[in-house]
Amino acid sequence: MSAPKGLVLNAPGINCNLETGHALEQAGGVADQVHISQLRDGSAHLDDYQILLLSGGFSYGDDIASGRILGLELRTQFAEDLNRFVEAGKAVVGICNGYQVLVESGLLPDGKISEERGKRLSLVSNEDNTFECRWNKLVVEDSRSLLVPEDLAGEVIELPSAHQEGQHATRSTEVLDELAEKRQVVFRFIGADGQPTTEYPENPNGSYGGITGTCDESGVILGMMPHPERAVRRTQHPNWRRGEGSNPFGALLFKNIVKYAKEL
Amino acid sequence: MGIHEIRVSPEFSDPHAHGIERQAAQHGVDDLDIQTGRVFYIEGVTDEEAITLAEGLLSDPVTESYTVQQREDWNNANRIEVSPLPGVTNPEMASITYGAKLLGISPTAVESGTEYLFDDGVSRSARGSVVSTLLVNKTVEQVRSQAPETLIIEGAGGMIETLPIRGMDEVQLIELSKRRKVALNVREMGSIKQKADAMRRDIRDAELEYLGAAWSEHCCHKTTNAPIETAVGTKDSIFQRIKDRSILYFEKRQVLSAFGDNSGVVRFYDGTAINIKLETHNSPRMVEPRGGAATGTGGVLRDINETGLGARPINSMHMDFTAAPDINPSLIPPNTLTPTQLLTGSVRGVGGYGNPMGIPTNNGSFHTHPDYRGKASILVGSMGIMQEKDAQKGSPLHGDLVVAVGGRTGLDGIHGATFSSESADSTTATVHSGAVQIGDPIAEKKMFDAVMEASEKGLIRAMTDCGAAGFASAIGELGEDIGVSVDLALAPLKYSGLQPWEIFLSESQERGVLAVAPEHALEVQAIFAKHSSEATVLGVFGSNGEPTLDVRYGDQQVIELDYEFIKNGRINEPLYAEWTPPDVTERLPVVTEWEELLTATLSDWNVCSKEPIVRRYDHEVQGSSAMTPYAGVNGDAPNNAAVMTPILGKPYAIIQAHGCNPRLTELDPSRGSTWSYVEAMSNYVAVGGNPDDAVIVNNYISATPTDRVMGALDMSVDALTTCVAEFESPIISGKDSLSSTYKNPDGTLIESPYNLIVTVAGKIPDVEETVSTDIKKPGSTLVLIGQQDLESFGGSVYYDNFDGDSAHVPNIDIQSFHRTSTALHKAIQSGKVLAAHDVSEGGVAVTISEMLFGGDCGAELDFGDSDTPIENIFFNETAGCFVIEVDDEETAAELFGSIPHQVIGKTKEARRLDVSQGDITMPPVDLDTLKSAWKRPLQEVFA
Repeated sequence: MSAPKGLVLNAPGINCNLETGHALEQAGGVADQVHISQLRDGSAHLDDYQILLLSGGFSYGDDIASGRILGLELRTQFAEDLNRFVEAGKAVVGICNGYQVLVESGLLPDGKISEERGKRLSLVSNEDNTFECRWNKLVVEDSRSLLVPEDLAGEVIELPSAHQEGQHATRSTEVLDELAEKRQVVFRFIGADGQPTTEYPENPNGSYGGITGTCDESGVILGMMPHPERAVRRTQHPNWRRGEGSNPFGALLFKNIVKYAKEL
Repeated sequence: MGIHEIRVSPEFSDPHAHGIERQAAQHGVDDLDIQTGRVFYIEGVTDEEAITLAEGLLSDPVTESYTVQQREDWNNANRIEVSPLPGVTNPEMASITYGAKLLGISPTAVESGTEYLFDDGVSRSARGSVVSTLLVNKTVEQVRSQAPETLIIEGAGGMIETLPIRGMDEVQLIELSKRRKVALNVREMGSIKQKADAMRRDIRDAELEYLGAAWSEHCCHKTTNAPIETAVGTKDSIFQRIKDRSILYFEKRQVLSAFGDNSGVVRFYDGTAINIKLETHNSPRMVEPRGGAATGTGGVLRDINETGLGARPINSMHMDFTAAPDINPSLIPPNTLTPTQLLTGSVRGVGGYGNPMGIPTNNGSFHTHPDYRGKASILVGSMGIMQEKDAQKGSPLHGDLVVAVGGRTGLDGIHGATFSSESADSTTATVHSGAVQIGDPIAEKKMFDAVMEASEKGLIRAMTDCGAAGFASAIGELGEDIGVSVDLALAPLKYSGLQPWEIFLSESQERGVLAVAPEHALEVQAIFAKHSSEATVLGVFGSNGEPTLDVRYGDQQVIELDYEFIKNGRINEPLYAEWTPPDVTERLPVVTEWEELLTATLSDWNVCSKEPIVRRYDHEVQGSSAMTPYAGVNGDAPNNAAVMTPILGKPYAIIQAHGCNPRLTELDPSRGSTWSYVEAMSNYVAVGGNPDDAVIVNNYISATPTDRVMGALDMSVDALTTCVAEFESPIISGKDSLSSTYKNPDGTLIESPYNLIVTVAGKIPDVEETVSTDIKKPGSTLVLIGQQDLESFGGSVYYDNFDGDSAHVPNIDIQSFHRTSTALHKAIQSGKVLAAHDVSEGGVAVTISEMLFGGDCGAELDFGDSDTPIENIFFNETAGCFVIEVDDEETAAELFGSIPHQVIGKTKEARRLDVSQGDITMPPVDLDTLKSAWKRPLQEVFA
């Protein structure tokens, strides 16, 4: 099959769409920048793509809550298209605000948009209530994700985060434990000792168990707070001049997404 | 159906409340106990619809609970409800309306606010202080005392007042100028009166308002365009001198556009170009730091976007100048915000605009001086990338349409242009509250996306943004060569009730004006609609006969003035310049313990770590970052410049840095300005910038012009143009802001220090040839390059902290610095420089310390035998010197040969700074001691 096609969704306030598209193209995919108004008026169709990329930004200003309006728009206007996309095993990736949108839409952690809102996970204000931009260390969990390279399970990687609402909130931590048990937790922030941490600054948002990325049960939907598209080249690493960052995780992730989508 | 009140509160943790509690503790209110919640008023929905909105849109079932009921306890003083003043921009309202629509509900109006519930145990005075300092900004927000009766804003518009100027004497003319707040002087008012006589009619309110804006300092830069009379005769205006010098190097440095557009443009690679601009936003920021800083950022980003035929901003900058945050509060004048309020508010504003826009804020600085306590300064800036073919400013043709794009027009910021040109006083906060605008970064992002798409398709003939004086300046300027006619009744408004002059002068943000050929109008409108933005035809370019500004409101005439008068109705009168040096009694500092010298220097406000600010800015969005502001082993050591690779996947880098030191420019505008230039160039060269491929932006901030201020400007420009000539580095953009004077109630003045900020930018073909500041390994050799002026300590951190005083600012030999820069650039290209950092505030002591923080290691330094006290060497602030890390002494000799350089020691694993001078050995100081002193000050401000 030829290069898989990715739809990079643009919407008011989305702002990482260009570099996210670039990351996909660098990995061998095709990236079409599509505005949500084009999905609305039918000049673009989700069905024509194998990959959906919801990139970072402040969709609709993150008004009311992060990702709330765009999540609601996906729920109310595109539920059928999205459910069909996921059922076909196509790849959905939400990064930062895109992750918040996936959570608001219900696609994560449930894997589909149901009639009832039935929300059980939220991404809320960082523990210290401030926006934080920095590189952190993460551990790649042995998860169900079909998009994260399998051989990286257990490895420590580095990625930049830049967000104010990345704390995983549930009515009870059991919900997150259950996600972990089902191998739906994909990434965790770790401290200097290599263990998952809730401590600032190693964990910029204070999430329980350091959780900072999840997937659905089928493994085709991936949501993550850190930005892999900002880690596709050595020179993006803050300490590349110290010889660090030579095997950037973002490049590996996007290549694996392309490889996965190619086989669809 | 009335108005439904929906209240949403967090059920578990309340980080917003914790944030307020922490801030309150900083303001002396300990143990505050507060809860927060959101309030939404929804007009024109049924009970059932209100519940649907509460459940499906406004609350989160996982973390929040909601109520839909009228509040009754309006007399409960512990429950404070804050909402934007009616008419103040609240971007959330549009999102709520859109979200409701997605659920099939159509409210007629909505409003959102925040409520705070104080615990009963909080004292009345503590509550009052928290409310007024942390929760409410009265210029844009209100504390509700009752539920609103309606949320719909409307009024009667379309009224035009005729001003009987022909019959007025000078006293009446000045009264009129004051009443209309147009800040025109008696000669300018007289010129308008003459024009009215010649036209045989009185003038209309909008005409006076328009001229007030067009002739304001802010828009036409009276001072920098005026010839200058000095003791040695009349000199050309400041602007003329800058232009005449710079133009000589335009070709050599591939400058594509300068001085005539919203920003300067220089060639980059592969058919692209980079544009750059910086601008102050001092007056709005003094009244409302967050809003002022945000709209300043929004404005400079629009200048970048709307240069030539369209550019995409690639970075954002923030330089801040206030009194020291620990200043004795009694020294702060009445009704004036504290340095902490100004700084923290501004950081929220700059981040609150750049982050949502997706533009990395990756360059900036913070400087203090006691004389900023009355009027502080904020400088914001941006660079953009564009197609080289779009670099030239467009010109409208006869018949092209006037298309207003972006956000809608409201009452925001009326009189911003004239306001920003006036001095501040204790009534500023109340009298001019209308001059504050609130930004909506998403509206701007939508507009930029649409502008770029229309630009790529070649649909734009010319454009400019709506900045100060809104449509008046944008339409007025685009029409100046061929004339223009518009109908303001066609302008989309936020609400009804605006008078025509208000529509024309409004400074509602996120707007621009395009000139579009009639055949492209529909396509342009479709592109804006695709991006959820608006494009509206207001009129047409071109006049029959003399170019005229012809503004109507429906069938009423609002303005009819010929451009000949608009452009030449006032003349630039010469200004007298005479610098008088400050009165300084020379005094040596009191030398104290070595460790205290170091820690006091590192914790000085002008030296300390700015990381708490930088972390609040998304400095990596766009994926173009090739040098983060803070890096090193622990990610907490500062770098010198912004380095970006804006064409993703290509190695081409743009490097941008800046320099300034108001303490020095105030003491000696000539040497201080050279210092600013050299500091900017040093930051740039230290990371790998090519000194022979640099362009410059200059920004001047001074007190309201007096002979002395003009003297400072005159000396400053002479010094700057000398540097420009040496490096053949043309100035391609710049701005002056000459109104930083605060008038105390007793009539005495606080004049801000004279300040020149120099920004430098340039390209290199390969990002690999850049260097960071962090020490790379133990055992390498440290070299001090450049020539210190060991006689001069005026304005230094060392003297300031240890009771010294001097008027002697370091003297820098610009030719020698040029040779040093060229040598360092070549050395970096050779790959043999492991780390490089320039010397500035705090001297070599700070340069070395910051390099060690990055390497998380120590150093052993020996300055050899010398008669100069070690303190003088270690804390001297001569810019243009560098500390670099190389493998060994031989490498240093090979790289720098005849360039002044001195091997000063070696790096080592032990995390300690050991300094000696021949036989004299200073006590060792632990790296953590140094680092915590350096980190503490702003950590506390931003706790």
